[in-house]
Amino acid sequence: MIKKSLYLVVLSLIAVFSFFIPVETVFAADTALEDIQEKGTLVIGTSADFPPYEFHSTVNGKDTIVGMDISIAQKIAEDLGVELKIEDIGFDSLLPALESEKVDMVISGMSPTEERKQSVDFSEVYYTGGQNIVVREADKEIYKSTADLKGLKVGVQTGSLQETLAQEQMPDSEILSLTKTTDLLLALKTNKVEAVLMEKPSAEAYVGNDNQILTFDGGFQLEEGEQGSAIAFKKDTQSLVAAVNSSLTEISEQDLISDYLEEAGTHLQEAQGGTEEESAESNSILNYWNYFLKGTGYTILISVVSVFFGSILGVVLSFMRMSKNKIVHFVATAYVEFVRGTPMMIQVMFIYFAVGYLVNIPALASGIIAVSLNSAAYICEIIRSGLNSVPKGQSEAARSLGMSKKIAMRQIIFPQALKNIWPALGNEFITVIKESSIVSIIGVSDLIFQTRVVTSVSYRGIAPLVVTMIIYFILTFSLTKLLNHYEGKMNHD
Amino acid sequence: MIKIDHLKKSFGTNEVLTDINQEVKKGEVVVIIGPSGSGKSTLLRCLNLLETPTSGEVIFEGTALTGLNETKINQLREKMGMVFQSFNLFPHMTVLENLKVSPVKVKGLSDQEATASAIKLLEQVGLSDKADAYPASLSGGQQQRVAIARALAMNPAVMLFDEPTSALDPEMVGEVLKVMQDLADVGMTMVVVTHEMGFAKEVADRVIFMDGGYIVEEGKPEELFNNPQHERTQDFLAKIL
Repeated sequence: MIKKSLYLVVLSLIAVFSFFIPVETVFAADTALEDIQEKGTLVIGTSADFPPYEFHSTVNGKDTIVGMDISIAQKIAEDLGVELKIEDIGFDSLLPALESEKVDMVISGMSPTEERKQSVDFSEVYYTGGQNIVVREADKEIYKSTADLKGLKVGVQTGSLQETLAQEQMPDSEILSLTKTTDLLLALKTNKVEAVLMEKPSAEAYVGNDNQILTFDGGFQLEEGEQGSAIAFKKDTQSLVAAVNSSLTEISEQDLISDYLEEAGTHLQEAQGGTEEESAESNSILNYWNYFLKGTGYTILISVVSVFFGSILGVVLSFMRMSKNKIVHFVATAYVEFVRGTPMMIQVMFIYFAVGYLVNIPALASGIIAVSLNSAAYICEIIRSGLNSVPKGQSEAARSLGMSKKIAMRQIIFPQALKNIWPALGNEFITVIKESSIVSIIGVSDLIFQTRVVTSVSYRGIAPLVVTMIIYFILTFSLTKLLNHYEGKMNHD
Repeated sequence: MIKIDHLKKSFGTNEVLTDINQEVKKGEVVVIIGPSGSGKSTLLRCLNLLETPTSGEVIFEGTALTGLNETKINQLREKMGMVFQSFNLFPHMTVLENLKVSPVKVKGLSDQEATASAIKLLEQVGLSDKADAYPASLSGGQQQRVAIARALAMNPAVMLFDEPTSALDPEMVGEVLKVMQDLADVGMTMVVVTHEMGFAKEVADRVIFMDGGYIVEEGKPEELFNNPQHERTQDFLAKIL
């Protein structure tokens, strides 16, 4: 019997894991270009926090992603005769998104390095900048070249070319790597780092709009191909690469890039909020209330839906864990232990990219699924320990009165367990509200994601953080008060 | 009414009951005494299958209990009221609800019928004024009287008492024993595990002395208390009397 059930468990494990082994796609003719023209949309992936390449701006009262790369992508889409669709994803997640076919191409000021070329194809280089160093205005006499920064702390964007450069060519420096450029500049201004490595056009865009910082060329030794930006494609999509390259050639022949940069500059100017004198007023963080409102809405939506489905699945799991059937018990226990033993961030990315490789799940749904599945494991344990906390005498008394297990559970055990489950469930809800912020890495525009957007469009580092903290606190505190109210009603002791 | 036939019970390798043979007649009051760990509570709990016997048989009103299905066991438990040392009232329900829940949910009585009978039982145990109180606001003695009334609400044929006064402050023991004595007086069949020798002497028809999983000696209370035959019985009685 045990042998048989062990066999079954192994079989089902194999079945489950075989799902996640990337299936070698059958080599077929390259239809990438035709596919795009057939569906009528070109989906691009970008990390919109990188002015002037790509960034958020309010155009005609609507939040829009703009920038040089976006203008290029727009031109390519027009040349292909299709609509352009933009997916705003964290820089680290761009190549996985390409891999799992969430996007058709990635245009995000990305340099075509040898390392990256091993996993993706690149177009021709469409823009060549340099690598700059940004320092505080106050330090302009101290830091004049890369050599002056020897042994000091410098900031880079995670997974960026600058990170590699810093590691290889500034070996004595301590490196702080963050996901967002705006966070890096905040770190610089608050003296967390002495300098930030940044691509030349971005550095100049930021410095041009902020008189507390200045920039100079880093004088790094760059491999050929590392300086420029190119568009990334999934491997074996030559037809698409060729079509894009011909658009790029046209762009370079007509020198459209400088037009695009100029346009990007006006958006930057708007985002900055007019002249220096006016900016204090018009750049009030409250002007961005609609970003925060949208983010809060998504955060609440994700939390409520996830706790709802998490509770249902959690109840099922807790009964499975208490089952006498060994296989059922094993499956539930394994699930709970596995989910509790792995970071939610990985789970979110796994659902979006790995499972999304097989079935295309939109980012928001992926986020909700991942948070629900995660929450279910914790809720399972809350319910189980709640039921276990009811003294054994209670069920004995119920049974000795002739109650069936079902009646005893419904009338006697569960109502008492609820007293313990309720506060713990409330805590879980509060945890979900806070932890669900992790979905921002796959581009779900929750409160954290919107905070970063506001940070990048307002060029304000601390104010958006304060607003977000206050919003989170209002959410969790009012939930606590609400739960306490109902908890009080349950108390008879 | 209850026949116990070669009953054995082990927990793992630890044999708690060793070959018990007994019969309880209708209307009889049987008191089981003995040192702690002698198996008397386990014996009581085997009668309504809160513990499953390892081997042997319990026959209740002509029906063998082992091997019955869940539904049959539940029906049978309705007829055997049980009172626990730790009262085990349902803390989330009022006294009245404690008495009503099983008649309504298990027997399918209407709320009115169940309320009427519950109020009568509360009068019987002298707690009419506590109907709407929650258990936590009652004294131990009051809680145990409610527990007795709750068991009686199912109209059982036999009442099992598992050390009903052991968890009580001394001044509350009397009120509970009084309720039990009243029950015996109206002819209820009772099996009582207790350390209250006074109660055993006055109320029991038969006293059983257990030690180490065996029934060492049994007899009418006056015989067993005044003239114990076994050395172990003599030792035990010498220590507690």
